[in-house]
Amino acid sequence: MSMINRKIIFTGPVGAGKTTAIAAISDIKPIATDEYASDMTKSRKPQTTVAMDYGLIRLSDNERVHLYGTPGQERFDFMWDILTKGGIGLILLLDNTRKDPFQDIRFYTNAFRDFIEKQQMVVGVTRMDLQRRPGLPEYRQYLESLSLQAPVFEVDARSHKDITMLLQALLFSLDPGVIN
Amino acid sequence: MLKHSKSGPLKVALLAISPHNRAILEFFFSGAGRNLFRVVAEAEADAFILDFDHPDAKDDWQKREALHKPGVVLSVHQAELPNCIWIPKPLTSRALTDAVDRVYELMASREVTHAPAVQRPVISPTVVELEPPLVKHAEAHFRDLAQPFGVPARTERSAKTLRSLVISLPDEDEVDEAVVPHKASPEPVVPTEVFDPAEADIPLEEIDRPVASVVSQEEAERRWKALCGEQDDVQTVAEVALFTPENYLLASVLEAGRMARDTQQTVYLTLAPQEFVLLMPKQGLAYSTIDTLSEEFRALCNNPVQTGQFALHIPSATELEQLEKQAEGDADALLDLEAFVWVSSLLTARGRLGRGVDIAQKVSLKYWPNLTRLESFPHAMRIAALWNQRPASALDIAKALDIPQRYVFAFHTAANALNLFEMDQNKLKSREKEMPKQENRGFFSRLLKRLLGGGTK
Repeated sequence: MSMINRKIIFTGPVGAGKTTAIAAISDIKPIATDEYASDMTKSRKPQTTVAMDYGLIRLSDNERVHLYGTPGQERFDFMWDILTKGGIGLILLLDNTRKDPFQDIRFYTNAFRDFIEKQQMVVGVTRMDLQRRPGLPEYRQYLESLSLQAPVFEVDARSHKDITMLLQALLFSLDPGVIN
Repeated sequence: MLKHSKSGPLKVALLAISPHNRAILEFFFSGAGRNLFRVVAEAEADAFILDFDHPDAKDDWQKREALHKPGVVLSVHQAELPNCIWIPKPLTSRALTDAVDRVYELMASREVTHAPAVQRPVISPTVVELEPPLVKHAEAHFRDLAQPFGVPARTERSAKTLRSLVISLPDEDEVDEAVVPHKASPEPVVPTEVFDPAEADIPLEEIDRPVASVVSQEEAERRWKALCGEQDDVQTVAEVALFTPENYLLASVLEAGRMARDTQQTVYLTLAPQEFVLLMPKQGLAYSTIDTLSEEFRALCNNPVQTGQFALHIPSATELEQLEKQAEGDADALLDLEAFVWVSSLLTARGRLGRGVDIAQKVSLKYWPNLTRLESFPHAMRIAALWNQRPASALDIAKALDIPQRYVFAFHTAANALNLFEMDQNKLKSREKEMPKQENRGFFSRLLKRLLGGGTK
């Protein structure tokens, strides 16, 4: 029996909660970029580098959903097209306490434009408990000004329920006829 | 997976690439791009890939020009170098696919003009001599390393490549001089085999996440009845149950919401003697002294109003200071402003449409409601998705999704209260999206069941 693999991409600026969000729904303990393996912390030991944060949802013995988080640093943006190859959708996480979250939207939606047009994006705004402005109406209008239509939700990246809602919105946006 | 090619994967060595970008490239080459490139040791490579924006790139390339191997140069600005092809950043899989053919063309053209050099590339003796110590150095680290993620420790070097996670060697100044005798150039590239967890069949540490259910199914169903009513489906437009918003608290809530939005000032709405709600537009919050989940609030929304029952005003600075103090000290009673309007609408409508709504009119959902912070009810997400995807009447949506009409009517009333619909008939056409592909429906359905069934497998 062949293994069926699908991929969902999480992106957003550093600190927006990508790794945490993956951890909230992953069946496994996520592997993070820049992670040091258990006994690698001493100097002169090689560092483990993985291309993306990684989590996994196992649907059955032969069906898996791989959750990939892009490295948060913007200097990796020139690689993002190849990172998303084969992905079914994009979760963009934004940190509402950042200086200019709209600039983040512009940056990430531009970087993933082709992928978003082919697939689907869902936006989760984190840390709204710490900073209420901008609010969701402003996010919606800003996305509209970029000619983008996407669900925008307030989320707590630690919350299984919230991240599950993002995924539900992604799947239903891709195919509203899906039966849950 | 990307398809290529006449000649199989192109054997490449990666130069002047940061560990992360190297990991990302190798990740791609091990997955979707596995038919395009194979990362090998420098000596085995047919071509080099280098990040020309990396500070070491020019130096690295100069040291290898004499090898007459083609280079694939990644850079923001155009780079015209002999025996190289340029791929502009941002990098795309399409550009990488095309690059393979172009590299083979370069190799072929060199075969014509420099046949001996290409048929049997002359590897710099310096490179050949230098490689083993560095590889040994890497191997030594691997041997001593407790391999993460269940990769078994290795004792011998594979004939092909190192089976490993992508490893960045220690900084040059940290390298043990006993292992690497002299810093010489060019630096060889340690061959690696990328670790893509998705490709590996290895035991990863599993998480057992208990299912946390706050309310019972019975309680949830009771609440859904309060929010969406219990009406049966109707066959004709004339049979649709309607309500008159002006007869309920909802009218005052909407008026207060409008006032708050227009003035960007907090609005005070009296609900009952000593009971009130504050709508705070700047914070996007509402503070209600009556719990919106309570029977009292449900009754307030359900029962027709008496004249003068609800009053609203913009508090003075002094009054506002006191009210905000009260709200701060009662944080549990704060809720999202949209959530307050949403729940007020649902409890009032109970699955009915507002009088004045053109039931047959097609509308489109312009903006999704913030479903993570609003009270949910069955099918809300599917209704939002379909209505966002194509203009339709409420009856069309219920029919297309094959769900009870009351949920669609409830959604319509609540989303309308939040101004989330596009009503302008001239703009509807442009909002229509392509019909979704159904090829993934089975998979999506299984994933949804899994997500909604809780965190455990």
